[in-house]
Amino acid sequence: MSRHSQIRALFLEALAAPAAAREELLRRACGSDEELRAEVESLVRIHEAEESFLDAGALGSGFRVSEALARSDELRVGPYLALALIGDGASSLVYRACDTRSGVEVALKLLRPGALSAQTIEDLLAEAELLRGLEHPAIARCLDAGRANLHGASSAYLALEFVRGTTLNVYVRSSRACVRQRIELLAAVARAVQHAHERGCAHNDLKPDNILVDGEGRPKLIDFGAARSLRSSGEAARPPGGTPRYSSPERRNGRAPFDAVASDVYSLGAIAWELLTAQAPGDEGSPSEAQPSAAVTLELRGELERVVRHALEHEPARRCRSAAFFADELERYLAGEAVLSPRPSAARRLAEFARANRVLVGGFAATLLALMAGVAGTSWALQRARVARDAEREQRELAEVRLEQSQAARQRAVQGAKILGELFRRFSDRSRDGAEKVEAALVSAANALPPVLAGAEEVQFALHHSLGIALADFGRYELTVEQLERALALAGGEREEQLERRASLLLDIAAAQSLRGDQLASLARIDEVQRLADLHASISAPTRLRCAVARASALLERGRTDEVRVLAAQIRAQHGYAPGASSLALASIEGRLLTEEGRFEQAIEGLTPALAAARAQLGERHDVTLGLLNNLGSAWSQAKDFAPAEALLDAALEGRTKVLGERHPDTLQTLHNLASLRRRQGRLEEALDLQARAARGRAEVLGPLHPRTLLSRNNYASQLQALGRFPEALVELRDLLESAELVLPERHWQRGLYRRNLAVLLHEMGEYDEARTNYRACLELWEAQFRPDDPRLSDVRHLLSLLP
Amino acid sequence: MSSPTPPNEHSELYAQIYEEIRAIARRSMASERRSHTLQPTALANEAFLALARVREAGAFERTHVVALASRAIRRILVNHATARLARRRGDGARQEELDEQLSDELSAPSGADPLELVALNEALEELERVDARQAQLVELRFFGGLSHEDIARIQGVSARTVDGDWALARAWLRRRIDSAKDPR
Repeated sequence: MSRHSQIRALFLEALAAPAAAREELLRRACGSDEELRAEVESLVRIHEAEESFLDAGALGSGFRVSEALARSDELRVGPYLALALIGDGASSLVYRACDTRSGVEVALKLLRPGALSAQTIEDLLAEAELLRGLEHPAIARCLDAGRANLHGASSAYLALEFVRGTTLNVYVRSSRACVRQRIELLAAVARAVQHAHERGCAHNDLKPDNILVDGEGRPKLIDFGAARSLRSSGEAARPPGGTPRYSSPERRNGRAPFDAVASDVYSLGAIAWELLTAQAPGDEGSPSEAQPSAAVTLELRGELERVVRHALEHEPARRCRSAAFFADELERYLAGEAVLSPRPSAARRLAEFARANRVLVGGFAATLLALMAGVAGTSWALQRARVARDAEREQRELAEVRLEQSQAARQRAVQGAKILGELFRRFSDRSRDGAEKVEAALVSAANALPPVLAGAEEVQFALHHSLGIALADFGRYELTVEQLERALALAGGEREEQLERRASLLLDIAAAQSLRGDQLASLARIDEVQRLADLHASISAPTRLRCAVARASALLERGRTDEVRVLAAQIRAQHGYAPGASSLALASIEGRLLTEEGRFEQAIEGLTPALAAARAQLGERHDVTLGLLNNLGSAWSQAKDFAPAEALLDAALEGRTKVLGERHPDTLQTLHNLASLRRRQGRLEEALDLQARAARGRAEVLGPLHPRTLLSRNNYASQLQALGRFPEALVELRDLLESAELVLPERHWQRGLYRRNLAVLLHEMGEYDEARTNYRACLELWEAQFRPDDPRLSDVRHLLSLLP
Repeated sequence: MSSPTPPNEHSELYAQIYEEIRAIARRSMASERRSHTLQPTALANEAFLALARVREAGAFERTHVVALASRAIRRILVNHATARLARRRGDGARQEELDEQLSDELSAPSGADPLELVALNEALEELERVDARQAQLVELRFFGGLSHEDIARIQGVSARTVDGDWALARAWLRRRIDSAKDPR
């Protein structure tokens, strides 16, 4: 008898005995074998004491393989054998099924038996009737329909043509369809809708999810569950529910009379809008009110925009009159012919705009004058250094006033530039990218003015300087650098304040380079400042400190954490805890380092007094204060203490939005961190939304290939993964990896990161071979970059070891 | 009723069943948009369709299919749990201004806790070495959701024996798992 059998026998014997007699029983049976007795006793104790997770099944208590087998016969519906569930709606289930008579694969739509569904058996059979009247290559055919009995309840089924494909949005993203292909798809869908209308049937629920694209790129319209005959009238014609995002305003508002054809046309327009702008039609107001922002109009401009807007007209009467007309227009556009969709007159639109923005237009004229006189454009960075010094002189109030002034001026300039862009856009025949026009205007001003200003070098200097800063607000850092370089060329002289100004300007350039993502160029400029400081004892301590902190910041951006740690300690030793912005910026960096190391408590301990000091010395609205709010909020967030995290990050977002604007990289950073907080709180949908905004904002402001944009896209993908939206996450991550390999330097750590994350996704999706390849590629990259004991390496090795 | 054949992991049939169920798992993960993870119900719903198909394909012994399916479900769930644990702990590299790139903590799925699952799997492997019959019982009951009557039929023993085996295996596994959790 094996040891285990012995244990089994004793264990069962003990269980059978009354509890009081057990001890005695075991002592007798085990004799001197103490170990055996202890073991059986503990097993009995566990048996008595605990409810085990083993009692429920791994798949929940409802699942029994044996019952499953028995039930499988029930999934015969008429002559069809259901093979796999492919759709799970409120009122019906859709199976991939097999016609046992012919072996043909069908999509079997089955009314949920006994469900309180909106769709009744009669509705389903009516759907079949409508579908039978349709015959179009882009409409999934109805092959059969009938009543059925399921689990004793009456039900009905439709056998539809099975389409092997993906939904329109997924297809467009994963196949990277070009604009032409997208328009062709839209035209084909519009033709299918036209066919349905001609046969007297309105679809009523057109949306990307109801359009499948097969392997050859042909679209198929599916799900006529909300379809109605055009011959029905009154309430019978009004379809239920609908997807608000793609529904016409009259349908959303429930306004009568309802014209199903016009409503379908609107949905086609909304789908087109989404397909061509990559922006959901409902992102900002309804699509008919939405203004395409600079970055999303790339594919929707000029005549094409007119065609789509015509379909999105608010008033059904003014809307594109039929699906046929919409298809014709798209085809005309593709053929390069003139489109017929009307264009709102430019004059009318400009007049409306000017009326609505009278104050701003006036303000803009003033701002332009100020700009040219070089008054408004004091660098915010320079201003910040001044503020720091002022603070040290305990002229805090004065500092705040100055800061407010410079911010007000900056905001006015930005507002002005935006209006200029808007005016250009409105006036131009084709609505070209507005921001480009503003930049062009700013740059041409910079080119045209110097001759006029010959001799007035100070004014020229101010002009280039302020233009540089204004351009930074558009996120065009390379142009910022160009302008600041020109200012630098004018900032000669060896006088003390001239040297100081040069150093400060160099640090501004370094900041712009850093924001561009070019840390090496940034560091080169910082080195120049360092040389100036080495040569000239007159360079002030605050500038030296600012220079050192800028270096630490650039190095951190490059991921050279170890060097930053050493440098930060040196700076701290040299400059101590002097009041001022740079010192507090350093505290911010120190907090970041600690957080990165996972030492949240210490980070919070350091950042909290720094934030209080910044509030007192620099004011609520100062850049460094806002940065500290952000970093402290993020530290709390990572420490999983959500209440303070939420308060701080909300304050940071509000402050940064007010001071820097919605589109500033720092604002987007906070948005990004807020998304991470929401994810930690389990508010996944909100997190996804915030992350999408951060990623989109960064793509627009920093460019789609900026390392920070890539990080945001990475988090977005991560978020999709957390929501179980694997196919989308996969597309995103593959795309990301490709971008990273295109733009990041050979040994940039992010390359490894995206490999790793792709591998983790594949791992979870069960694609083990590909996951393995990617883990290995990541390891190879990181082994060449990190020290052998870096936790990131052991992390990947561990993940690799978990693969089956 | 044929004599119970121990499920053979190298058989063609097992490969077929495994692939079927894995495909289901993958699909249900891909299509269940709101789910954070494998949806047990979705998996269960589809598993029986797959089993039906396998059975139609080649009139196999029902008990055989059931045993192999239980094994396949175990392997799939454990692999999946392992991957989820990896993601849960994988905070990985962090850079940038407090950007966090990975760390996707998942809320617990509606099925078993992944930690428990992985620990159970290890304990079960150990039990296999000590008493293969009890290990198979756990596999059939926990992963396959089989009743003791069915298991008795598959194993060719009495239902009473299964009851006894279960009581012991349950306590034995619990103890293994707990001692692995906090080693003294």
